[in-house]
Amino acid sequence: MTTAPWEGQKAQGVLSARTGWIVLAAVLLVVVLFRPVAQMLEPTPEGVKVILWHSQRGEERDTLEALLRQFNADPRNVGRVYVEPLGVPDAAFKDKLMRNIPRGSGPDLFVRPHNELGELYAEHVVGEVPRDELPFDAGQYVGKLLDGFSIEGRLYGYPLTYKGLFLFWNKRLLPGGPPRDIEDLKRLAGHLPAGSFPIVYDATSLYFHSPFLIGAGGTVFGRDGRSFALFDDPGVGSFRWPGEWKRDGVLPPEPNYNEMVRLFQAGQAAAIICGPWYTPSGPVDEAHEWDVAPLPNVMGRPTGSFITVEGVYLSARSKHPREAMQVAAFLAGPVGEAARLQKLSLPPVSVSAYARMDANPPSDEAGRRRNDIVRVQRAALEHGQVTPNSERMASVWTPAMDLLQASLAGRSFEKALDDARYTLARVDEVRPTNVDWRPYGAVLVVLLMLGTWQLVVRVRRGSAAGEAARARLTGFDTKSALPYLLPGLLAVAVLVFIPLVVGAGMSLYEHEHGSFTFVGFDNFRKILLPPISRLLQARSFYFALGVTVLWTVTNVVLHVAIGVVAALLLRPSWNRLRTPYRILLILPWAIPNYITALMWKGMFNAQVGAINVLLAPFGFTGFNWFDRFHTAFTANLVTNTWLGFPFMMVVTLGALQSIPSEVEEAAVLDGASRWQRFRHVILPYIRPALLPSVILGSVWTFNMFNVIYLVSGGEPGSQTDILISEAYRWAFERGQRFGYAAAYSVLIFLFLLLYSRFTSRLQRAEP
Amino acid sequence: MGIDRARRLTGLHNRGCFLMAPMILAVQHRDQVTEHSQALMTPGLTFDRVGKRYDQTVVLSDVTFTTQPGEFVVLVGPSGCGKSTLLRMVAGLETISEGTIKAGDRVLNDVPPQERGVGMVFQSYALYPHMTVRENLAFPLYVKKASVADQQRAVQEVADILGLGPLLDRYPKQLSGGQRQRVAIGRCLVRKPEIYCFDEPLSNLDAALRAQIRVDIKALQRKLNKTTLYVTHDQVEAMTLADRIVVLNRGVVQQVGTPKDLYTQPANRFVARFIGTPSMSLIRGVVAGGRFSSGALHVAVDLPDGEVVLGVRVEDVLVLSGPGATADAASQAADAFQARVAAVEPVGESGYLHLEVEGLQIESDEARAPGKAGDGSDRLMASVPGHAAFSYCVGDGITLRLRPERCHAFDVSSGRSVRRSAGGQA
Repeated sequence: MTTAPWEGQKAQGVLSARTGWIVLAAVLLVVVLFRPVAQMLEPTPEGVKVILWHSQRGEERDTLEALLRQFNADPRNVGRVYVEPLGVPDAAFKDKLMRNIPRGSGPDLFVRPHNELGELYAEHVVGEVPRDELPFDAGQYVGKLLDGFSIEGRLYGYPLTYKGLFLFWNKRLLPGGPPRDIEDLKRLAGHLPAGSFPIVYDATSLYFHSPFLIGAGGTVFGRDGRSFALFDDPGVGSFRWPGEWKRDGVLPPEPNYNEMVRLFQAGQAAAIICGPWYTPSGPVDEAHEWDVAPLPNVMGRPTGSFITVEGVYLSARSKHPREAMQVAAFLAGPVGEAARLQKLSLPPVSVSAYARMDANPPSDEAGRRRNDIVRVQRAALEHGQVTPNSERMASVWTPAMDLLQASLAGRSFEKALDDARYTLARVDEVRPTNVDWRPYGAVLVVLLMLGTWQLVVRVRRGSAAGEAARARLTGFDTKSALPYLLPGLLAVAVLVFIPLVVGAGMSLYEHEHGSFTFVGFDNFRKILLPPISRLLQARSFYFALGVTVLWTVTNVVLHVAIGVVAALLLRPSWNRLRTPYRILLILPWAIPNYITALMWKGMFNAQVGAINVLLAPFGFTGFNWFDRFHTAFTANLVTNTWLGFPFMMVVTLGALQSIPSEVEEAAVLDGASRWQRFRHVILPYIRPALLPSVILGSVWTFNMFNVIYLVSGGEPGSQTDILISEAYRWAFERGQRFGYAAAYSVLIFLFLLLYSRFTSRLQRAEP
Repeated sequence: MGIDRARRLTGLHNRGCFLMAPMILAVQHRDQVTEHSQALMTPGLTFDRVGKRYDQTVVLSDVTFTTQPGEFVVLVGPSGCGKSTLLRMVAGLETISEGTIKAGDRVLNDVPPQERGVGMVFQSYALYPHMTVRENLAFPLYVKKASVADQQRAVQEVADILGLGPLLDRYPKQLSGGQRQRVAIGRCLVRKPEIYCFDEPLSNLDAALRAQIRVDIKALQRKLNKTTLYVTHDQVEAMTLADRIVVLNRGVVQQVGTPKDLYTQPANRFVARFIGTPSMSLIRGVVAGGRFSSGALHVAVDLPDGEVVLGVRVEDVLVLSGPGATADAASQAADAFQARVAAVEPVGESGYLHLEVEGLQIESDEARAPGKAGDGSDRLMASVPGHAAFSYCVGDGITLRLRPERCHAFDVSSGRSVRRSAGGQA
């Protein structure tokens, strides 16, 4: 067969291969040269560079950078050492440290709260600080601040300031002065105007609960500093109190952080437990009704809270430790301390600073308020505990939160306590044993070879087929297309394919403290074969699977039912009112669905949410939707249905247009009722259109993370979490168990793959 | 069933006898059972100033006529004349903007379609595609919650009538057009309605089948003896099937009458041109002293002086010279005129000669302005026996005359008939 004259001709002109390569090369050149050119344009100072990482914003960042500039400008430092700050997002900070420093590429110094020290120490990220390098003598530090930076007697950081909890109180509701004792607050219940409460605070958080834990005499760890004592006597009794207080009207029904702040600012709370980051605004501030006070006594004794100490750490792999310590000492020293007190009202760390403060009372209102806030935090420090810096501390927050939530919701405390103890006990599970990777590697190689061979066969077959041959005839060949396709292909490979493969691969590893251990199918075994007693509890795979399936089925049923009914209702007026209907329909889709989820969460708010306001005649005021499984599930369901039914409605409307009107008229003449017409005439016509939509919709709903995470947040106690949000939590909220979460994702993927296989067979079977 | 029996039964000698023989047999059987009640069960329809409007567009106006019980009335007219709309108004699928429609004494205007006792056969048959033929036929009874036994019986009965036995478990898409039409008719029969409505049922069939089934439907209707309204755009169907025809054009009834009435005494030029194949030729000319002339054509007519449009059918143009000439050529020389053959159309039994007459002002359908002969508009035609047509060539001269007593005359501006042909007086 002779080649036609146009075969083999390459595309010419603007779209030729050459142009493509030139453009690609130019783009790469710009990308590569950008940094060096930018560096060249901005000269770097002389001397040793000390890099400092922080995650501060706003005024705190301004103050820090001003201090560092001051250091750089100091004539003793110019030309010898200068410090360069770098802001790093808070959420990723720890990760970045743990990844960069062991490789020698991280900062020399970083500013972090002390409670991460345990983890950082375990990762060998922090360097020891000799005690004589501290700007103040050890004894000069107020309270037990240095404990926060000590591990086994060695010091690893410079304290900068600390934060503790204290009381903001409403002078109008408490004319006799701030509450001295918890009993005072309990007595107030019932004597306040409706809608007001004696005390508000984020009662689901262990951090805000700490004054009561400490007041009851509880501690997080036992004497040895390792074993958990959080849920033992005497501290465990304090976990019952929030539930009792809520029932007695001492606490409001939905005690989350934003709600508490709102209540206090509206003047509906006599007192709020909060920290120095908070400044009341709104009505309570405009009327000058608030003041600060130390925490009330618990069981007759003064109490404090968990104290967080902010400090400067030295990197374990800093190349210039001497210079770095110089900078750190400056920051943590008297100059820095004074600046932080003056500009940010942050408590100083040295006893002498307090003496100075007492000796020179400020004249202005703002100054007095500042000193009061500092003093109440010192009280919190004196009677409280520096939050333990053990890495095991990270595991206590979630079970504590569960127990507090159970107490607030009025669920069985004993059972919730059991669960909490169990969760803690799992923290000390056996370390993963390394499994031989070689058999897995062999299987992988075989699979890869098979896959590549299949791919080549299919590509060969495809390029010999009609369409490809025709394309070649008209002058489109692969070589000229390559430079234009390459960026897209790379993007797909990097953003889609590689994460998929890496994720699947990660499921074969166990991740702990930044190191991955190959464990083969152990993750899957743990997920699919948990202890029998835990099989149907929340947070087990099967429970989540059941909830997910229930979630998907109910959603799809509702979407289709409401969508079809709405389509039938809209059908007569569709032609006339098409534009307004389209606008109304686009709105739910145009708004990003997480914003919708947040809107609905607000509507389900226990006190002021629109739902409870509308249902007030039925006694729904103050009803907390997220206390029980079926109400929380309903809230999620309502939100997702609102989001999802327009899709089904539009699909049905389109299908309805295709029904020949004569068939419907024949049915009318035959005497069929509306329901009979729907079932026998309309439904068979829309079924072929609905089936693919139902399949799509069910896959989307199965993985609907936004609604579950944002509306119910998985409450109560992770019972409304679906598989995908469970996977998220395992990865990011329960100790970075990436391997475990990846295994979850693989299971979800397999499940949906089977499902789509099954449904495509259904589709083909359609007559 | 033997072919002889089928032929005898149906009176047909074509393939259609097989189609319709079973129908007729079973209808006869049913007749015996219900004969005495049939005559009472079908009302006549009365249309009283019926009109239909969609927003500002008037689709039908002032439709008034009456049908007798059991009559086969055909609504005919060009596309868009409103005939289907009128039919659908009887069935209840369209609302009635003005006027009333009565079935017997019962006013149908506000009665829902299901309760009117009207059965309809749609142009596209409108079978339920997701049900088998059996389920399609049973559907009218199924929705009335008849017992399964009743449904089965009725389906079997209709299937026997229409010969649908082997098709009962098939789906509509597995059937041919003719079979689907029978199912559609069957579904209509199952309901035993009082009035039958057919909406162009033969339009979707091929020409051969159409010709056969046309006759068969007529036979069926005679047996059923129910009032039937039949809509078509094909005037041949109308002429074949109807007891009476209602001609519609642009929403206005042009004429109501028997096929013979419409053919021999058209009320206006529209009906004159619409009915009959080939169409009547309309010639515009002047009457002076009892004589009509248009160019070289002249004929003696009994009309007042003035401009008039003369209508003449092909069979009334007599050829006086040449092959196929008619006998009384010489005696009528006074009205003879010359023409030239412009085209020859040998269509079988007869042949048509298209004629060019000098100065003739012949009118085409839509235009009011006269078109000149020879510019492609309709021509005067004469008919000769089929074999004779082959003897003519284009350009041949020919002598013709018109039959004056069979000519129609229409008013130039209104188009209405001003004189009925004498031959039409019964």
